[in-house]
Amino acid sequence: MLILSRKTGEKIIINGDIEITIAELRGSEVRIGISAPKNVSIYREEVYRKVQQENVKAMVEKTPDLTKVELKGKKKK
Amino acid sequence: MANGVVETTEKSREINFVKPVLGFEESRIYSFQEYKPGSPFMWMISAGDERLRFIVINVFDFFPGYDLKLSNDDRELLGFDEKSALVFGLVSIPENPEEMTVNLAAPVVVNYKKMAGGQFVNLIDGYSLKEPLVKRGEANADSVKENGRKDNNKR
Repeated sequence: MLILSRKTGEKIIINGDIEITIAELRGSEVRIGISAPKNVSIYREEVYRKVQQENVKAMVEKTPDLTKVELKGKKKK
Repeated sequence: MANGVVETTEKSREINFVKPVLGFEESRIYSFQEYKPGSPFMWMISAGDERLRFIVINVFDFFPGYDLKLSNDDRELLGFDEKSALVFGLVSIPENPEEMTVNLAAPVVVNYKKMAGGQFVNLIDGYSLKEPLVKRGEANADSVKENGRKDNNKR
């Protein structure tokens, strides 16, 4: 991993179009500003991991039989 | 929001995912197909790899009061507007299908006008990644309103 030292207000540029700014230091907390093209996905790691894990679980390997389950909601087609 | 009936002519149309399904970043095109005639379930299948497939539901069919907030950047990227956007929940089906859940915290949003879609984390707090979908699982019904949001998680 590349590790760089930066002061508050200083930036890092990634790939020419992603700008990371060290916005503020508060004790052990760092506030980071990120400006990037809209199609770049940015998540806090723990949020990303949780969603990713749920997605992996949702991936269907064997077609399930869903004809017998009684579902919530009012919709009946 | 639109009522979510995917017309027959649209059922095999391909949606370009401007934001990926997290963990499956390499798959950017999905098609939505019927699961079984009359079923509320739908297939969401990767165009590049048909083994990558999910079962989804239209969130508003089950949670009519569901509320979704996206960042301005995401709204713009998707061309999101309330009238043309469809909101799908990825369904997780364990061995016992009675325990199936739907992800309301990070739905798949599709704008059919632009044939664009993606998975987005709902900026509104309190929606579960694992909301039960089966009636019998309503033991916690007291804390779940029709919008699928748990009161005790409110800020």
